[in-house]
Amino acid sequence: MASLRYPIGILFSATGSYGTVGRTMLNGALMACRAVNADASAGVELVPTVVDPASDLSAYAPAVETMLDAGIRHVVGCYTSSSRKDVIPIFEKRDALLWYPAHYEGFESSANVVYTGTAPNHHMSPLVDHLVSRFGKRAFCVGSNYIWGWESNRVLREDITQRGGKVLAERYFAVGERDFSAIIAAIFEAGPDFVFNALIGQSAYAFFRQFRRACEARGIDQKTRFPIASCNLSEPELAEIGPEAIDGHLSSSVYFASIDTPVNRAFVAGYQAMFPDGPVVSAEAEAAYIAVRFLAEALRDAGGGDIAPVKAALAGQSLDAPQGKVTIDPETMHCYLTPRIGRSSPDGQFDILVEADRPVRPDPYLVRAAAPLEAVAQRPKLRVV
Amino acid sequence: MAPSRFVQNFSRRHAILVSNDERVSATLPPTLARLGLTVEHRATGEEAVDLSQVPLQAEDHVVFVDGDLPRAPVLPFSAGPGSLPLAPVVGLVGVEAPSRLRSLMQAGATAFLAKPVYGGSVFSALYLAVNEFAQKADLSGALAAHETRRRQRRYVIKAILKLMRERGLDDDDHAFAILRRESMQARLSIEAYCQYVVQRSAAQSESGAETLVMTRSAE
Repeated sequence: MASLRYPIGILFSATGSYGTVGRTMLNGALMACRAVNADASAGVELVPTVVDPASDLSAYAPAVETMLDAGIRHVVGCYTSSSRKDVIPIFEKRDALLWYPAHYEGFESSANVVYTGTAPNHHMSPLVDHLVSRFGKRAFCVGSNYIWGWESNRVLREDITQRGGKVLAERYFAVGERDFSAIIAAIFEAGPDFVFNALIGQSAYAFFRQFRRACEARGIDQKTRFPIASCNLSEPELAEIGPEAIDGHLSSSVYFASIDTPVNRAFVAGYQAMFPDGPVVSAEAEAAYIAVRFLAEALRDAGGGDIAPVKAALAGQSLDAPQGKVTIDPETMHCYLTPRIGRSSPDGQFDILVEADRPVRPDPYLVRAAAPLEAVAQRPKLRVV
Repeated sequence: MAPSRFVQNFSRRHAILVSNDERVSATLPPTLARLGLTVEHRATGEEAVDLSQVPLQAEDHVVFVDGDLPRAPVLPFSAGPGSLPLAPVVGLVGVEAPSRLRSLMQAGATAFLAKPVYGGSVFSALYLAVNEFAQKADLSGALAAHETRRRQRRYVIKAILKLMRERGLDDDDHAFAILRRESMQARLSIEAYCQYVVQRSAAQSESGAETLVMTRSAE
């Protein structure tokens, strides 16, 4: 079969405040490109153009414009939701396709985006189940000050309020903030059952280290008294946190490098062989890998890069991913994924505590899970009639 | 009245789409399906679409009305002050002319959605239409309640005078305080309770028996 040579864009921030995750995503995408190009039966050869916006929000849109000007129709990229929201109008205006491989907060389904990361029903609902059954119903929320933190905390608050629990406080910090002494004091003051973390990048790593240190100074075992739960914590980030605070953190995800299947063992070994200098493989790397694999299959089946045939070819497609079977939901262009909850161990891996028994249908608008009305947070108001 | 809670999940709703525009029927129903709504499409022929026989419910329905229809659809409205359609309405705006926008407002639209419909704006329009409708319904309910209490005002005066006369009180504040306490025990507004007191006494003097049933206010 004559191979179709096709240019694609890869847009990840390999440097800057969330560069560690960006680098693993870049690696995952490049690994998939190599796998596709090495496979004679793939029927397509991908020619990647890599751009690094360096964690600078304003650099994403010009990078996408440049790629599209050069004739690229498909871009695998973005980690933060703010960068995704920034570039989506360009993809819609110029009818190109963004392949977005990260967990995100939902409430979106652009016709010009394929989402291979988790929707909130994948990462949030199982985590709340676990936290409420193991630790309690009183949460303290910290997050980076943008849409991921805001919406993650909102979804958590709604879920936990419905179960009779309570969010004691919600605090936000600029992306890149490193000083958490005031908020740590507030956590001790409030005494929650657990801390929910939606900080990203360097802010998150600094928070993990400072909180562990503050707990040790008070003679508190942070892992059991104030466990930190996140929906955006992966293996390379554990390495960034450093050995003194690496263990005992809960992460809700669909992929951990410790998944013990032949497909995943081969994936991890292939990744380590290709990128021996790290960062280690992560859920985001796997999602980027899945995105490129789906892209290659859709390009081959569509016989080219036009958006409508590619989307038609993609609808309902499945592949055997490292996390298990992944299927594209034709209605939302999100993926059926397998939720898991892991707890970090001192060796920088996650022990898998909970695993769904089958892939879960994506529900980006939480239409099948959430109540029709927003939760009531305050006391009922009485008045004299 | 409880503080109004915002509706954010529309998955149990049924959308009625009144439009002759093929582009709308191609793009809007798939987006609504993603949001969990079921969609029923009504196109206008010679006659205007008549929804007056449809049992519309504010909690179960939402109506999308195209502003470019040759004949505006017939929508049932609630009675009373601040009359509203029976279900939230989203106006689909094609020709952005004052007459078209006015006809959509008259149809009770609480949100607009510009044509051609762009998927990314449907959730916002739906959110605005449904929640704005709920707030208007709350306001219109509050207005109706105040109207009732205004009409009952004269009973408050009568009841105070009656109590002062019957119990030999020389202080109207004291009489009011008694009525206020009794109305709160009866869980009625002071106006409704005074109406009850006055009408009970009138009925008793007419028939010698208590015939009026105490009714609780709508709140």
